[in-house]
Amino acid sequence: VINYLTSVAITGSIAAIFCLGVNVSWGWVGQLDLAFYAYVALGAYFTSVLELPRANHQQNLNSSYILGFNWPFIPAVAGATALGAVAAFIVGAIALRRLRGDYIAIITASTALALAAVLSQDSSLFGGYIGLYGLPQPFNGVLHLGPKPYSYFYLGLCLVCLGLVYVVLEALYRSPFGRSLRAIREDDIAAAAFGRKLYWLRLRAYALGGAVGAFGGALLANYLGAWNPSSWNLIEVTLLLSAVVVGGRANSRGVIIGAVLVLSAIPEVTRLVPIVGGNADVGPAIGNILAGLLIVAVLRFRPSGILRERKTVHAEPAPPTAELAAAGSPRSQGNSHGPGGAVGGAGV
Amino acid sequence: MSLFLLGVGSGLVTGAIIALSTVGLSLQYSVTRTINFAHGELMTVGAYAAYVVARHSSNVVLQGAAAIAAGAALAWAFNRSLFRPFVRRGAGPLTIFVLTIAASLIVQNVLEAIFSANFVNYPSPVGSAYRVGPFRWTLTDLLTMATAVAALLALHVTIRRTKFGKAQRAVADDVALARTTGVPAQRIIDLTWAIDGGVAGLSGMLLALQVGSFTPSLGFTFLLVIFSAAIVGGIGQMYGAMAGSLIVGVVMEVSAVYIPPDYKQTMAFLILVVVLLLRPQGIVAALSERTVR
Repeated sequence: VINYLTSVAITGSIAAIFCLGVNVSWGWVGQLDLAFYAYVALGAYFTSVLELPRANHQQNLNSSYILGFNWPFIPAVAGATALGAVAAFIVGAIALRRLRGDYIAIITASTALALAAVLSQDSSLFGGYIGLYGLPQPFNGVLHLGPKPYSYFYLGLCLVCLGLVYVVLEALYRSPFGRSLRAIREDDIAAAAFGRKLYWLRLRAYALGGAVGAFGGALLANYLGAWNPSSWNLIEVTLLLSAVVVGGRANSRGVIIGAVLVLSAIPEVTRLVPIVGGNADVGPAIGNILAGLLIVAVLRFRPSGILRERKTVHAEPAPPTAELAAAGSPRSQGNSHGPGGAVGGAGV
Repeated sequence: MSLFLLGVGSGLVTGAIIALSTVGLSLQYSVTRTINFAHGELMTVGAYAAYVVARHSSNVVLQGAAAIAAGAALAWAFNRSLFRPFVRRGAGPLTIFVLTIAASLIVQNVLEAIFSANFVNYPSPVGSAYRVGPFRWTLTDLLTMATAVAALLALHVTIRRTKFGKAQRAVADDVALARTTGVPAQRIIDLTWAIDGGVAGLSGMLLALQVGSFTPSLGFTFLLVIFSAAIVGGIGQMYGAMAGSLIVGVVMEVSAVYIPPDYKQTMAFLILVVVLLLRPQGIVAALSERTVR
């Protein structure tokens, strides 16, 4: 039972990292990114090819892949995170060009599907359909732990990573950068009038979300020890989205609660559903149905989620004539101390 | 060359299936101005309804009727349970979009709970191939195209020649104005959803006939192809949707002649990106007055 709980906790904390990543684009800026799981997958793939030794075509006919640097865990994960950010930056550069919200969603969803097709077809990049396997257990070359203590160690590692992501994202949320993003979400025209560079800010936020996704993906691949195209699917991103909506958009603690509820509690409870008529899919299906119903119910009765976004008011109270002053000289107000700081809260 | 024409031939069949579904999506979009992410599920439900009927009767017309009814019923349910209550409360388009994502998740998994996630076989009267000019089509192909053309013609007559069609176009043009001139806008929107579901359900059955066996994600995996076709044709425009569908269908199938068929969907996606990059004003400017850089 303890083993089982540990594995649930590990996947749960990784799922919470994913949701925090989704929350950057969707919660802070309000752009719907359906390619998110592609960055998770890229993070997993890249950390794998960085950690694995060079592909040996003689010994291992089935699996071939690029790189194969045999790097240790930390640089590999850092590299995968950076590459995830680069991938998101490239996709975002196309998807965020002057497009409306639902077009962004369509373009990003298409990107994820196209990438899935290419990565599973092309076996020379990341092993195609077979994928990558045989990842070493991080740090266990030094620690030499047995399977059970090691799983405790990995849980601790994941929790530390989750805490790290939480602290970094909270700091960014409060920073002028985060404030500008919220200003864009609330009213992009006003934000542009106050000198915010919409495209550039959105793109940076998008790349940040991709980096968090890739980081989580790297942790997941190291936990599973293998990664292949069947590990990821467009439908997963809808589950992450529902966790963010349920927990509370733009509230990191709410997002973590949502992740635990939607991505850990519901699937684990519905696992107990007996197999009816030889259809083993009933249990997971009921879990997904519940997640879907939860989105509808939350949007209907509590649109801001379980924990609503905290109202952040800028330390210096905005002068009463702020609007007039701004109308006169938008540039002078434009940088880090703009009235954008007074925006926030409210939700959609 | 003959391989190329063979690709064009199957492209026309695929295009016909896409066209039916895309025209439904465009009609619904024209009156609601929101994108339905659960549109693929209307197709899936149509396919499963036809499959269930096919287990009892081999009558293709009966199966088609079941597909239309199931799609229309589901679209009606979407409208009543998700769309109308939220629009009335002033939900934004992105909120509606998230709701349709939830709807897609729910419908796919209800189907999974009933039919399991495994493939089901849908018996199709394939028959031998016929040569029509430079193309080669099976009986199923010909049936598919005939059905699609007939359904699209019927839609064309409905939209252009009937009183309902006139009211539908009025609502698509300007809901508030239509309402003030006495058009029962809500009923028109309800009916448009049902028509959308009906043609999408029928297109789902035709798709099932083509692929032979399918899972609850049949329509979902086809969704982005539909979106590509809709955007290429100019979303919300019925005749544009037909043209876009034929372009996307033919490009997908012709590409499959030269590169692995797994890249078919990627081709549809490439068309989408090219259109968005080269003609963004055709899509963006027409829809949103609020374009800021």
